[in-house]
Amino acid sequence: MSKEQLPDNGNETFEHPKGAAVILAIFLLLIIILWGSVYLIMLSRGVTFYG
Amino acid sequence: MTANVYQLTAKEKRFIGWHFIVAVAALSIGSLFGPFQAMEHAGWDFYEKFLNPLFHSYYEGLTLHGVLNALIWTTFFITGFITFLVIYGLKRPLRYPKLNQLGFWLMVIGLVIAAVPILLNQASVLYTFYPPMKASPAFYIGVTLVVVGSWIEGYGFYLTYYQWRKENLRTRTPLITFMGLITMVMWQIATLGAAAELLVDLIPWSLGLRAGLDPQLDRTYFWWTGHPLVYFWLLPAYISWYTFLPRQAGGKLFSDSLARFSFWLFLLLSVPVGFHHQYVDPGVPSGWKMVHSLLTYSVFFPSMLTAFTVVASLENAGRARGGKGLLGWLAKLPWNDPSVAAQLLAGILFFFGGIGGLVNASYNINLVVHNTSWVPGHFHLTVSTGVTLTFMGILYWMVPYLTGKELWCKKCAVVQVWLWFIGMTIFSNAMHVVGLLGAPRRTPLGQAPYIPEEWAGHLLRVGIGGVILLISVYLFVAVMIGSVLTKKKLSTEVEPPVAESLLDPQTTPSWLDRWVPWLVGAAILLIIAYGPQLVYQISTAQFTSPGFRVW
Amino acid sequence: MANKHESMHIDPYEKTWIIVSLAMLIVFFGAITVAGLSFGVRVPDPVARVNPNDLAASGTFAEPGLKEVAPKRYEAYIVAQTWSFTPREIEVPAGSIVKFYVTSKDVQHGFKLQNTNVNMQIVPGQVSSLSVKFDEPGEYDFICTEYCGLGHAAMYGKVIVTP
Ligand code: HEM
Ligand SMILES: [Cu+2]
Ligand SMILES: [Cu+2]
Repeated sequence: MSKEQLPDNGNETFEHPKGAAVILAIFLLLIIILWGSVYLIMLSRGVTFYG
Repeated sequence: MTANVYQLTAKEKRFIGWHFIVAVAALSIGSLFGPFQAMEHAGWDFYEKFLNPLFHSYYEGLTLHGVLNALIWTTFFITGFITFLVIYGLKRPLRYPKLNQLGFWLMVIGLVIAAVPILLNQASVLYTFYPPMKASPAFYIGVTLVVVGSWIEGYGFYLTYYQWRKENLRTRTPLITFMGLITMVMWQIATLGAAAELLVDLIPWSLGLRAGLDPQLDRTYFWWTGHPLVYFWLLPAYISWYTFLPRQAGGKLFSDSLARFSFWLFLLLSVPVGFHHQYVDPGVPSGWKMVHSLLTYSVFFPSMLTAFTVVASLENAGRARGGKGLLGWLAKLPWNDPSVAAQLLAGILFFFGGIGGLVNASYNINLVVHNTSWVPGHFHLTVSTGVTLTFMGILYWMVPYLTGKELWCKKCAVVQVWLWFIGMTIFSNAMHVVGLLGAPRRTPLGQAPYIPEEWAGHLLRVGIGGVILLISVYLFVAVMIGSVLTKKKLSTEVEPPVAESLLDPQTTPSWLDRWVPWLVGAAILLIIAYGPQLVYQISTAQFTSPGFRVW
Repeated sequence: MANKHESMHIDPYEKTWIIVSLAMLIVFFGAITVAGLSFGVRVPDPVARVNPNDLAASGTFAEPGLKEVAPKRYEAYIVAQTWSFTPREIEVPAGSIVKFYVTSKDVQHGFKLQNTNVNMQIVPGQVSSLSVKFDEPGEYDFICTEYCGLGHAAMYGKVIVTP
């Protein structure tokens, strides 16, 4: 568990937001999956421009 | 944010309270139609049977729903909330309270002038009022007055801030005031588009002073305002998540300077992105659509910053309450406080709203979702939940603060919040799915002849979600009315839960507290993103469209 | 300046988050650019202006309908009005490429061809255009996706793709 002293609040110890990092990692994964699946739907529906 | 707490006078509290009364009244009427629309989709049509003599059509109801919820509930709530942020943050009264009162009453008058033609079925043009559908001039004039009234309230805030600044040269602007002011400044830049559309085009045209309009040009004006409009709704919710929620949950704001930085990015990037609503418009070149797509991707970034800071602040709170392990702190948050529960649940659904937004913003992917029910599915997670449920949460502490009386039936409030969350999850998921299958929005699907069998299950879920939300809306209204009427006085006054920052805000870099460079930056970006197309569209405009009344 | 030390403190976790989320946005933007420029999933570009009050004078929309421009290549001129499309039905053989040109006589409409990427805002005075290749025989509805008045929900047409 890494603790860091912050410059101006000398009397407070501070922990890195590990839990937040986990939640945001899950969020990122969800973005990639959900966005990616709509992207694939788009590709499956074909082209709109023929030169 | 220490000992010296400025107490708002009874008069100031009443002034802010009136904003909220109008806002909640608008929501209570506007949100009546949402569930009816949802149930119509499921095949339970109440329009012909019950609503008909009073409300003339699905579309009149949908106009009321969009205008009262998206324009009136939000604008009145937000101007009231910023009034609080300015007075309480700067610890001083408004410089010219009469000016703010003038702004407020103009908004009320505008609302009445716009509401009458809608209720008479003279303005069933939906809240985007795209020409060449032509509403009664009163509708356009009323909407204009609401916007102008909000501007005037904004001038009142600026003048108050200016006076404070002169007396406090070296102090960082208090975070809540800073954020409230950015929201208002952004709004005033944003509404220039609608102002041009209404004043130059729609009002003269509806009065018969202009024969025709160019509907493509008016779409461009409209979406100059239309996208930042959603940030006008969203930023006050972010303000609450950044600066109130951490304190309500028992912690501190994780980063004052990143909070400020992200708000400057919102000021810069909220407006020059409007073409992302016009990806499938015929009159805008695809290259410019691409430019706005890139800028929209950029404005996604400060929201990612917000997500981190807010979740980290909540973790700080949960750990301060004894939460252990990676995620154990989540359960330690005060879920039994309706204000906290509302904001947490709003935040969760807003995550998904954000993902949908990124899909919409993605240029050609928009072809899959444009004008399908995916889009209302999306923004009922953002404005109708992320924002609306957060505003409800704010009112759950703000109303006792303003009245000095207890929140009536706190348990009802907790239930209300969960019902909203559950109802919206069901409703919105179904709307997204059926939209991907091709269902159009703004359409009473129960009457449409082209609906395939396989949509039925999803449309049923839309209706079920709607019924749950119907209960939730009126439970909310009941708690609000109950809290105003109750006789139970609070023994100690509510202290507004403004969170301290983990770091002293005086250490925030001073470039994060200077207006001019950021305003100049915003102007330059606007000129780059909009200048060439505006010049082109105006100089090649063909004012050939007369008005139509098609409802 | 205040005598305190100024800094923009960024937690290392937050720094990682910033980098990762920026990287994701860049990759996504790359993916849509490739889909647009290389694959050809494009959004409409301006093609022409017309006078909505006098479409007959515009030439191309005087007689809406299907025109064969080469073997298995068609142009479809469609007029939207409250509350129908003209023509309401068109028929092409499987394997055809059809370029749609759609305009409106009155208010705004929408044109979404189901199960394809053709989805356009129809604005009076403008012509909206996208193409599609019909590989599979069957019926493809095109529906109006913009509110255009009381009859909006019933406004649609069909492309019949014959084997
Ligand atoms: C009470 C729960 C609600 C339900 C069940 C609901 C339901 C719906 C439905 C089904 C539609 C789509 C109608 C259509 O496209 O034909 C819709 C549209 C809309 N809703 Fe809601 N809604 C609710 C609350 C809200 C709230 C709180 C807001 C905003 C603060 C809101 C803003 C909107 C807007 C802006 C539209 C688009 C109107 C248009 O297309 O012109 N809704 N709503
Ligand atoms: Cu937008
Ligand atoms: Cu139509």
